[in-house]
Amino acid sequence: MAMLNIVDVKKSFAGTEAVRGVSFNVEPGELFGVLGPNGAGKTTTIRMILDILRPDSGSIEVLGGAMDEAKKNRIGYLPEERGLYRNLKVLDCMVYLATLKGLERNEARKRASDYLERVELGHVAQKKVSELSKGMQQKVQFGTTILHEPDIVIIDEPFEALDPVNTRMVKDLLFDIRREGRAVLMCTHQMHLIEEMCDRIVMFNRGEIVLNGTLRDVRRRFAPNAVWVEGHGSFDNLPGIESVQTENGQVQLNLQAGTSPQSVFQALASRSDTTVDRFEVAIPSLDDIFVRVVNGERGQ
Amino acid sequence: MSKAKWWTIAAHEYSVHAKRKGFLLATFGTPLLLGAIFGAVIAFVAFGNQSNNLGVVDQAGITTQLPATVTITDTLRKDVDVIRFSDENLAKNALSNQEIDGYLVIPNDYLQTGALRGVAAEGNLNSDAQGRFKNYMQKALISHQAPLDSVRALEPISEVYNRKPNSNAEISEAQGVLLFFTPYIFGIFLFITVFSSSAYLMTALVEEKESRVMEILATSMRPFELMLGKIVGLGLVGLTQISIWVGTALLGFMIARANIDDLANLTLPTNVLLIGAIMFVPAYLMVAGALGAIGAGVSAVQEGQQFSGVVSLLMISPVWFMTLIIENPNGFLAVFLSIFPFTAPIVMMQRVALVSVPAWQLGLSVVVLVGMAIAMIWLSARIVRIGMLRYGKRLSWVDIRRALSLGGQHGE
Repeated sequence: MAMLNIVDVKKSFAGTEAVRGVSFNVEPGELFGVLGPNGAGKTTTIRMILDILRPDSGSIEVLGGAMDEAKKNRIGYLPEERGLYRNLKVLDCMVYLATLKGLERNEARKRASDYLERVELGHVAQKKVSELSKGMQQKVQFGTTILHEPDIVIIDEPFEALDPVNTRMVKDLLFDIRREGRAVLMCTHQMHLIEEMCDRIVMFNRGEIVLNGTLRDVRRRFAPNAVWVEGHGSFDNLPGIESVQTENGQVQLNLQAGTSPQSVFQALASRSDTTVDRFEVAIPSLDDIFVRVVNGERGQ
Repeated sequence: MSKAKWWTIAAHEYSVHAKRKGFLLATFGTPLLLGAIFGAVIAFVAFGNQSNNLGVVDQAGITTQLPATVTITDTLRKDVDVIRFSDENLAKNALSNQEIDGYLVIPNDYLQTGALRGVAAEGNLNSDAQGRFKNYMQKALISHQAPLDSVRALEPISEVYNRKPNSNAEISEAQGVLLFFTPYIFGIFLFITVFSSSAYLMTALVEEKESRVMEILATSMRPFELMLGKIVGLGLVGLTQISIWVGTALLGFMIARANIDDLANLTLPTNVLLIGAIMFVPAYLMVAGALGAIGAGVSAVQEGQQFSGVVSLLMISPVWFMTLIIENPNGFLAVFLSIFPFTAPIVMMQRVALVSVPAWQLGLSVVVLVGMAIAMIWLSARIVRIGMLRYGKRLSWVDIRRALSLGGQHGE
């Protein structure tokens, strides 16, 4: 059973189509990345999943069926526009928000205390939220999202304001969720984190999904049929090479149709005047793909 | 609907707002302040002029029927002896020895003139001593079987009796004052409580929008549950406050009535309190609905306060028409204002205190108020649905019209 199954969902506001026939699904034990420029329809889609908005057409299945009040307790949501009760104590704030997700008060208090200890915030439990730094608040907010152990965690920019150490902490928590067979749907503009963490991605642009698949598949679609080489000597006049580009000491050999990276590697290995320090099939970064997609490219 | 969620919100709102310094100060400070003022007055009366015994030198021979020492119980039940001296010099000695605080000389021609002479260390007999002497003289005159005109000379105006405009029942001056002030005091209690609780609701909603907590709440429950929880929780905060105020006022009234002779016969206009009690809940729901809708529709607390000021003015407007309502409590204006829901609680309490209000008007007033409360809650639920996730800008009239006609798709 898919955790989320979205089929041909459409939504318009005052005649403007915000989401145009979006379909994707999220499976148990999956870290699913959602990419796209601002205003591409990501937040509207998430709000429809969460039943804050209703789609004009299409269907959304959450945990095997339509969203209902009971299922709201099985979802954790960290919105992009986030906030906490600034005048409440950290622990009280977490407990209150967790009880709204159906947790019993004492259990919520215990879990909140454990979480704060795990993310090294035990010492601020009795401080007011307003006294915390932005990064600390972010960790508290993340805690309120997962305290009730939801089956689906939907997080929008979860690493904002976090330093590398805290980013690692949150990543570990997300990996734990995946390991437990629960699902994470993550929106972020930090492409390296998507590359590092996500199993599958969708990319939105102008209300549509323009990319959908595993990271490996997506990258292959945008791969330029080239190899990257670093080393000494000449890389010219190799068989099956269409052109050679050099940038920052890295050479990109663009292959002719029908030429395999393997044959280029063999040709380089046979040259006595050339040493190779690095040889890699050219795979574009997600960052690169993002920019190209936003500029209208769809890949192969 | 999950009962737990709205109840969780209600309990949270109650716990947060009932612990606020402002709430605690207003709830306990107001009766404490009033109690302190009232207590200070009593203490001043009771102890400020603390007197020992008093003396009397009777040259007219009208106290002969009384014992040489008469115990006078004053309004605060403080017993004081009035001792009769056969000679003024003896009284002077007693005064200089501080055995008495002062004495009264009843001259020979007292029965003709009604004039008395008071002597005290400070020069004048204080009001407390005068009150005791008045009491003593009444006993003396009655025991002496003095002519009626002498009694009248001593007490030209014994008491003022008033009547309700359309009633033959006589009420005392003090009772009249009580009837006049009770609806206003309780009306103001009701206004402050209803309005401050509703203002908390509005502020809480705007703050949750400003702090973006609303986004979490919106994904945890339905807007109706959110509003229900907040309205119930803050309503209980208001109920706590008004209960403490009314309870303290009633306790103070009972203590005063039990201890002050002049107030002993006063009766509290329970019909006024009953009307207030009946109207409190629908009045609160109506104002909470209105301010909740404002809170969901605006983007900043300050903006919300501007709109809520209109509701506040409407509710307190009967004060401007007080004179007209008292002069003609069954006139068109008074009847209209006692049925118009925003002014009904205060004006109806005022009318009930003054006249017998026809049952149909009472019924209509309550029905209209309840109807308005339902309409306001419905309106606010619709507007909350559409406005809860609208950040940074307030709802336009077009948005509101859409919310009312479509039943609410919210967000952008």
